[in-house]
Amino acid sequence: MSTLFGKTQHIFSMLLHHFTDMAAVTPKIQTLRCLIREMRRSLLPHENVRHSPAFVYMMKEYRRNAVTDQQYCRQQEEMAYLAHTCATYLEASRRYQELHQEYHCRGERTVKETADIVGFKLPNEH
Amino acid sequence: MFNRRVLSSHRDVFDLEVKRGGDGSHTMRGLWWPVAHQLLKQAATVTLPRRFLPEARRRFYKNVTVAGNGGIYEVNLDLHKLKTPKGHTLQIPNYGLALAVAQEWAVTKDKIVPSLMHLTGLSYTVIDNPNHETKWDTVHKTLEYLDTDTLLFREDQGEELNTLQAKEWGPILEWFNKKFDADIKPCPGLFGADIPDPVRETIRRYLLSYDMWAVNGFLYGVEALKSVILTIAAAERKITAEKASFLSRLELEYQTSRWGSVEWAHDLDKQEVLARFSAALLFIHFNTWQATTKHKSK
Repeated sequence: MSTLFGKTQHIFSMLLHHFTDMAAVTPKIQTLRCLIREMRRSLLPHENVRHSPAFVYMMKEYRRNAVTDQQYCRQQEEMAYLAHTCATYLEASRRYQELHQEYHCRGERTVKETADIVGFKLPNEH
Repeated sequence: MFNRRVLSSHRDVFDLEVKRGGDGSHTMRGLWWPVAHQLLKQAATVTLPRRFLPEARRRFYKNVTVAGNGGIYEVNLDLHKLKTPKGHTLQIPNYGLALAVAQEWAVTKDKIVPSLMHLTGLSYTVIDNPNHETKWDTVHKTLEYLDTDTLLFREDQGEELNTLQAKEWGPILEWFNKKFDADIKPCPGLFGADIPDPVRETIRRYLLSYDMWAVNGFLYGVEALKSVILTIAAAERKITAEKASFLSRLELEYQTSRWGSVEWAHDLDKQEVLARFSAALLFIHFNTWQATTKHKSK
C-alpha cells in the first residue's frame, strides 16, 4: 500500500517538474519554431509562411529584441513571455479542435439509423 | 402545421419563426446571414426533428488581412471588413493583437465557430460593450471571484493532496501577499475567505490601473481559472499560462494521475481551459505591453 502511494507521488513529482517555470527554461528559438509551425498550419497550400504579415511582424520583434544581451532586458523577457503565450494559445486551440473533431463530431443519428438500431422500418419504406 | 424554433448558441443569435400557412408564407425576424435563406428553403421541404441546431457558417473568404496604421487596425476577410455583432467595425489598437485575431480567422478550415475564437470574442465585447459596463463594473465582477479563489481552498481530508497544494500554491500565495501587502490565508470550510477591505481596495486599484481592454482580459482569465491570484501572477509574468492552468486544475490533475485520465473529457477540458486562459493573457499583454527602445550607449 505504501509503495503504491510512493510510486504515485514519484510519477506526479516528475509531472510537476515538467511544468516548472517554462518561460525561462524554454529557449526563445524553440518558442519561435513552435510559433512558425503553428502559423504554417493555418495557411492555404499555395501560400508561403514567410510572406504572411504575422511572420513578418514576429521576425521584426525578435530581431529588435535580440540586440541587448549584455544586461537583463525587461523588454526581451516581455517579448519572450508573449511569444510563449502565443504559441501556447495556438497549440491549445488546435489540440482542442482536433480532440473535439475526433470524439464529439458525429452529430445526431438520422431517423433511419435510429430505426435500424431497434429493427423498425420507416413508414415510407413499405 | 408545425412551428419550429431555431436556436443558436452563438453570439450571432437569430430568432426565426416559421409559420406555415397554406400558402407557405413565413415571417422572419432578425435575419442575419444570407445563408439563412438557403436554410429556410431546405427547412420548408425536409422534415426536421424538433431539436434543430443550425449549421455553422462555412468559411466564405480566402484571405485574411490586417490593415491600418497608427493606433487603429482592422481585420479584413477578403474585401469584407470584420464587424462586431452590433455592426461596428472591429478596430483594434494594437497591431500584434490584430494579427492574432486575423490568425484566428485564418485557422478556420471549414466551419466558423465563434465560441472558439476567444480573442475575437473579447474584442467584440470590449468594442460593443453589450451590458453597458464601465471599467469599475468589470473590475468589481473580477474581484467577486477573490472570495472563492481556488488557491485558498485546501484539501482537509487527504494528506497527499494537501501537501501537494501547499507545495504548489504556497509560493504563489506568498508572492501575492507580499505584493499587495496582505495576509490572505487559506480558508477552511464552505464559506469564502474573509478578505479585509483595505486589501480588496489595493487589488481593485491595481486592476483599475489597466485599461478597459486589459480589464476585460482579466475577467476572462479569472473566469477560466476561477482564481484571481493565479491570473494576476500570470499577468505579472511570474508563471506561464500552462503552469497557471495546471495549478488551477491541480486536484483534477492529481486525481487523474492516480486513477487515469479519459482523453475525450479530461484532455478536452485541459485544452479548453488552457486556450481560454492563454487567450485572456494575450489580450492583457497586448494591451499593456508598450514598446520602448533604449539604444545601447556606444
